[in-house]
Amino acid sequence: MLFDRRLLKNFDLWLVIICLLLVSAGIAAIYSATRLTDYSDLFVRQMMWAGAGLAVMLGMTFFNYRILKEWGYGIYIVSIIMLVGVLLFGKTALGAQRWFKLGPLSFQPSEFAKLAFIIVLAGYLTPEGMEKRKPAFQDLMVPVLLLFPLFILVLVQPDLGTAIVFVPVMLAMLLFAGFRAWQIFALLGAGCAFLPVAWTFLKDYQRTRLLVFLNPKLDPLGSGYHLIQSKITIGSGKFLGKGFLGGTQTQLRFLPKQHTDFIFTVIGEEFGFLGAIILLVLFMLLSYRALKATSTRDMFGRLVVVGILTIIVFQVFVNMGMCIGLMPVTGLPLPFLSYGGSALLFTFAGIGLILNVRMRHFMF
Amino acid sequence: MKRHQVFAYILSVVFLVLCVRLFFLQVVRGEFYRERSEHNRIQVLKDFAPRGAIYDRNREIIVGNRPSFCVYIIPWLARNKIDGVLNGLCRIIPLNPQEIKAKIENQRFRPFQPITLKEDASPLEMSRILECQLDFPGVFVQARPWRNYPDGRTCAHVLGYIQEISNDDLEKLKDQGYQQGDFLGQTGIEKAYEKYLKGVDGGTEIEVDVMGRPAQPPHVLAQKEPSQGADILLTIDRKVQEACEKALGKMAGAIIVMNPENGDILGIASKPDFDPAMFTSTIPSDQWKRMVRNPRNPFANKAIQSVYPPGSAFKFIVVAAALEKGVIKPDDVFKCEGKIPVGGRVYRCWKEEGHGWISLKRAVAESCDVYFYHLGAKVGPEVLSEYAKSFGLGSALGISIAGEKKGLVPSPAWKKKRKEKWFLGDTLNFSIGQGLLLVTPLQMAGAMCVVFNGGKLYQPRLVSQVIRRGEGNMKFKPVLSGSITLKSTTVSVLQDALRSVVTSGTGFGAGIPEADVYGKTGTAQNPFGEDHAWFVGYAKPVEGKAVPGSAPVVICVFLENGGSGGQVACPAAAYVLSSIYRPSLATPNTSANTASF
Repeated sequence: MLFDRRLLKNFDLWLVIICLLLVSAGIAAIYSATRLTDYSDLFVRQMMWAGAGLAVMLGMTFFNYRILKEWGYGIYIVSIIMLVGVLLFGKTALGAQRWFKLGPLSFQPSEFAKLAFIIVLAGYLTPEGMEKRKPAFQDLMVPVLLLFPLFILVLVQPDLGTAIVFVPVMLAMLLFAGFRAWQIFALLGAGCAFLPVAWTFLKDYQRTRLLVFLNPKLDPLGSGYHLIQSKITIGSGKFLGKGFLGGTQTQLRFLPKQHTDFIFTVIGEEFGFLGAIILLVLFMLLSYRALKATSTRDMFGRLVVVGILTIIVFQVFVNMGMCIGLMPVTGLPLPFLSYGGSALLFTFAGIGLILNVRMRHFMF
Repeated sequence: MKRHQVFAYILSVVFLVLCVRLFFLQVVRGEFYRERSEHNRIQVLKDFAPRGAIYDRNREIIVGNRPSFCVYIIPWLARNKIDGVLNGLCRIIPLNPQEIKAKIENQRFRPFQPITLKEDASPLEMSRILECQLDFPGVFVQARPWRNYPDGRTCAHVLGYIQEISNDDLEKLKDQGYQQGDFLGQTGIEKAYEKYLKGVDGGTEIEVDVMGRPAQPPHVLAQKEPSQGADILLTIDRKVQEACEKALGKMAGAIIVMNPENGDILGIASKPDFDPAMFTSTIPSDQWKRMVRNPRNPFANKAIQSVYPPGSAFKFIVVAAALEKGVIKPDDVFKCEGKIPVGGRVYRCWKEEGHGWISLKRAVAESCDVYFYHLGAKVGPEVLSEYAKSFGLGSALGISIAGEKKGLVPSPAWKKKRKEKWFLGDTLNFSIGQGLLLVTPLQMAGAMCVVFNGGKLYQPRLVSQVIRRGEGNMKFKPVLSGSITLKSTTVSVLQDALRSVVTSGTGFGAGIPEADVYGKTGTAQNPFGEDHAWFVGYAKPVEGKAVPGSAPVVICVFLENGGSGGQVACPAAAYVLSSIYRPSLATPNTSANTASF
């Protein structure tokens, strides 16, 4: 099957090129943000991660993605075990327990859990013979039950941002699975009733961030400071930017975590509106290429693609929104650009699955 | 509409929102932000919140704040003439230019982060720096409230001390808003009530130009008022506290005065002590070494953090156990011949020639050991252990400052667990408060409260109120932490015996005319050195002689290696009690009965 020429013909090279452009922009920005610090070699590491990511991406295209449908529940259970494990034995950093440490590498099980959730949910939503029948409201029960343990386990790490990602992913997949809008809205409404419970799970600093977002004056020197500085950094880039390595804000390090959560501010300052728009256009093209893969007649493949695309777009929106003052500070990375090994690997793995679906769409 | 069209529309909206916002920030408002970034030599002037004050029960201040000035440098602003600046400064303030330059080099990527050059600078240093400010670009002086101890060392152990936060603590407490250079309560009240005392720092974020001069017109980016920490109202009465400390003088030991009826600690002194102010400045290392190596351990709060054998002071608990279990009647007598042989060893009374035939009351008054050997053997170690525990020994009483020791109440079961055998000799030692039994002075005071109350034990209370600004005050009510049922005859016989200790026994020296003093002395043998001296008792004011309106107190005097309880501890107790009840010594304010908050 590997040598079926139709597979190669359907390999979406454009999607890969877009990803490479995005990751290169990220490496450049990481270099700019960290070159004057004690950890100025991060961009090299990110290059190595990108190489590993490409390998993983290609690896993800070599098998027929349909087997994932059979493995769905197994993968799901493994992800639950890992999330419980990280709470018990994980490494604590920045007040949260999110990482497994494997020698020099650290691994974030919540990244794996996102893919696992997509696969298990896609599997559930495409039972044999269900293609024709309209899903009923009670069919929402299982997706919610699948979501719940993952959501809670990630929330208590605590990682509010990643926990929330599960929600739009589920909604988008339900939409594609044929649920009606009112059914999805009803579910969303019920979810909102759950918000006060979620509030009690949050750590004080997370509550402060949310409250400060609603009213930055509450804490102008703490997280309010990030919002103010972030806007100055991006806004001061004006139309053309200050030039690569020329961002005064970036080079003088007014913002913390500029190579991770606030990487977009580097682009905004040094490459201006033009650079930021090019970045947005790249993400739009990526969405467009990914949406093409949903033309497959295989419901399972379509749902997997939609789930992965939703993760990427949602993180882009939340992360950029945070940098430009539209969203509270949640600590979600910008896909492809933010420094971080496991996030990058899993993003590439997701892209690999999209490629995989597209390569095999002729089979249906 | 097809599903994927809906989805595509949603995505378009998402991207459109981002585009519009970026257009607004970078194109419409671009010039504004560009200018801000060019002037973005932001300087945060921290406005430190004063720590909450600590008051005694009469709202007299024990720890407060005074203004102080801190000199710091912002490396970026002094970057071109750093040598000149530092060399100039080291003629004014003690300063090692090499050390400071190393610090600057360390944080070369954070050039706007201030580096402290001198904390709590003197007025002279201040004025000299301000005079030549033009020679010192990037050098600033900042006001900061500084811990002030108007009474010096008074209450040092209870208050504890604050110290600049260590890197380890900072890592743990970052989330709670702690920053480098903040003070953190390390012991005592300062530690236990840190979260109330701390307050919230404020600050002003202003724009300064390249030279570090505030922009003209001044542009304040953000401002936040500091809010002072909550005040703490102690149950301590400063005058009583001072009397306790004076009574200890140069001796090592502890004195506790408490109100048995609600557990309020009126005075709790431990000596030798330390000066809490020394921790807010750099401590000369030789002085520090001397204090840490001092065998009399000035940093330990001997009232709660050290355990000792109680010696004969324990006997009142033995009496209570014996009477309650009915193993003797109040008028039973034993013969003391100065010693009894048990299992090949001789157990002696402190009085070599013996007390002869002796009653319970006299045995307590004269602290006859042989009598208590008999009593202890009759009661048995399990019951002794049970009663010691119900009088509060062997467990922490729950005072609100950290470090309280539990002590040890031995029992055959306890020894068995350690695979050791319990001998009759252990019982005999136990019944005169020797052997394995270990207590804190606070526990002895608590046990005496039980006698006074006829069974009730209140948790020792140090803080009666946390006075929070804006929010409601927190009041701490007395907490009954334990209670045993004692027959009224037990209580009256016991109290009668304790009274005779002071009127005509070993505790004679503790008596004062203004109050009826009850108590028990102890001279605890100590294998490591001189005997420890104990007096633990209570006093009831005599109407007409004592300060009007004064209330009973329980007192425990413990002197480490002090010698004889009767000879050393009793006069100290009498001194403290006089200061409470004698009208010529006590102003109305100092009485133990001041309305409690």
